Amino acid sequence: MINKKEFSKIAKRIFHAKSSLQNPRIMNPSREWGIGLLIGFAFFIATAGWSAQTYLSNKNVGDITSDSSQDEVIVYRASMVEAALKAYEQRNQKHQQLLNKTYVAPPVIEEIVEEDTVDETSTSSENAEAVLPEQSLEVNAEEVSGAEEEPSEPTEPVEVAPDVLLSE
Amino acid sequence: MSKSTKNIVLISIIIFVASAVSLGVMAYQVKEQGNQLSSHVATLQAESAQVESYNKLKKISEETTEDRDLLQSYFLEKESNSIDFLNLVESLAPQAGVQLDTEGLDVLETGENGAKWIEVSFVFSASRERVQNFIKVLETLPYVLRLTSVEMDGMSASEWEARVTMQVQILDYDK
Repeated sequence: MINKKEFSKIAKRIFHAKSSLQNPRIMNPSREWGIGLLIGFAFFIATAGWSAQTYLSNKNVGDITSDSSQDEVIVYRASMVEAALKAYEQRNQKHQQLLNKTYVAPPVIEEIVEEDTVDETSTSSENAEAVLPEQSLEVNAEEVSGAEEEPSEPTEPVEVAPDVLLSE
Repeated sequence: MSKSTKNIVLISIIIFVASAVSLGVMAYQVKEQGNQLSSHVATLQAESAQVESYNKLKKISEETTEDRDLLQSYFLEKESNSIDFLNLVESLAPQAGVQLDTEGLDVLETGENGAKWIEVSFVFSASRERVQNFIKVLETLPYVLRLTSVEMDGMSASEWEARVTMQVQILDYDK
């Protein structure tokens, strides 16, 4: 029969017995150094790559270039303006021609004086609309306009000779 | 491990963490400053584009002052300028040998683009040739105008009367 003391001894032997193969607790300095350096080098390479990528992406950010696409398009249709001005210039010329069409060059003063006296007695009837050489505008203007006597001086847009004559 | 080894390991860990934190902070700052720089550069580019556009517009405006003034003269700037227009037509009448009366003056606003027009009617009489000539004179007045109606009646063998309604545009495009 096993005593209590013998039983406890056996138990201690069982639990406190070391295995035959023990874990190696040997440090290999070169191996440990190699692993550490490898990790450090990899970390360095990764950081360098990220820095290079950041630099290359932001290298041209500070360059201020005149991008034409950002410019506001200013449209001035010069050809349209020129065409409009030309059209109105022609219109103005035609206007002047129409006004001048009714005018005749002023004759010699003596003839005008003689013809004025003749015209003052003539009526304004268009039946007497014979082609007379020259007549003064002032006389006929008085006959035609009647009470509405407008000054015969030309206004700014109409260039009229000072002495204008009306041809019939 | 011995106590010294443990101390070395602890110090190494502390230094490593400190380095990593400082690296992270620097990287963050670099990224943030880079974003700020990008936004500032974009703002500067937009501003320089606006300045360039303004300079171009100013140059065009200075170069085309005469043409624009001439074009503007073909319009009535405001309704009160219609008086000058009427005076002009009434001064042309005796020169053309017709007797002129002005009938009616209205301001119209067409629905096309909201353009304003002065509508005025003239009645004038003289010989047929003079009346026809004066109609052409009115058609060729140096204004942006349109004749909306022309009526011509023979009052007698020698006298004709015409009634012309015309519209002259009011425009001040500098406003």
